[in-house]
Amino acid sequence: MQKLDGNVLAGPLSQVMAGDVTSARARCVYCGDVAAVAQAVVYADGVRFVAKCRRCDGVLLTVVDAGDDMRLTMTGVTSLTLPV
Amino acid sequence: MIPHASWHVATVSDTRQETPNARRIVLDIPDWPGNEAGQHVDIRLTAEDGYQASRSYSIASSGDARSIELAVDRVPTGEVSPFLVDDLMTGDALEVRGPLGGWFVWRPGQASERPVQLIAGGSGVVPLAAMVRAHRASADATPFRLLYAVRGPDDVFFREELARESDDDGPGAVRVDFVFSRRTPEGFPRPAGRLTRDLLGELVLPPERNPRVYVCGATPFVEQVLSWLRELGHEVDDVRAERFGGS
Repeated sequence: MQKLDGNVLAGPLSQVMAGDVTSARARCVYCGDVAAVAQAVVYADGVRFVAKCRRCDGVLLTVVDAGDDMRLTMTGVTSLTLPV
Repeated sequence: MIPHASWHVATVSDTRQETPNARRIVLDIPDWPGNEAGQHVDIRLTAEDGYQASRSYSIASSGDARSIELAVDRVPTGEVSPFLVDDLMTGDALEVRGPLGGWFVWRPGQASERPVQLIAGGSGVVPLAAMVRAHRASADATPFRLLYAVRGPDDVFFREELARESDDDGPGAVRVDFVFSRRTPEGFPRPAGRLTRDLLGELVLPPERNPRVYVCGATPFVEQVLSWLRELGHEVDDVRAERFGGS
């Protein structure tokens, strides 16, 4: 997997969320850091995405974007604030 | 408000060699909602056996047009870019998802006291070129500077667009500074060499000007630049960065 950042989540997450998720501010469960989703550290291979907190390296969310099926887990995000 | 992203069928309407290693690709997309400067698309390729590979590519254009321009660098070990650079032909169809991303964008016409500093590593110049072009097209008065780190003069993307800025003495022109790592053009004031912290400090707007900074390049480049910016006194949490890998 390649080390990238949260900008790459824009496509996969557009399948499940209206609006731009990369501008959303996410709060990390583990350390409380609040940052734009775009600022997360993301490991990706085009199908699987693992987003980690830029501060504490805790896993914020994972996405599997497998064509017809998309799975999102958000175990490391206590709140997500989206501009509307 | 950013138009909602969805999958589109795009048709290649034009291609041309951008550098010996990269290609400019124009895609016509009849139902494209337009895009902002700095946004990207996901391109999905499907092999005959059904295997799919998808990667993100920055858009070099912006506005309401029903077409977009990409500039793709060939990563020899990549799954997608060698096809886009070497095999794609005019008339071919591609699956494109977008427009994507609302964080790594620059919007003209928003009065701001903050000047803009763009920092590009290699093909990371693509979304920043979209911003430079949008800045010129809108005659936006925000002061703009671009620092472009690239191997050599033959590897420069958007040569004409950047020369237009350098050749313009007016106050609205983008100031473009190159750092050439391997080869320099004749008469270039600095010897070839990689970007250093000192050079970065010399060629970017100082922290006192409170610039809005955009950085785009390969992950190691972006991380090095962010750490140097922090050491130089910039507020790094506020920097908009976009990293890419080899694909």
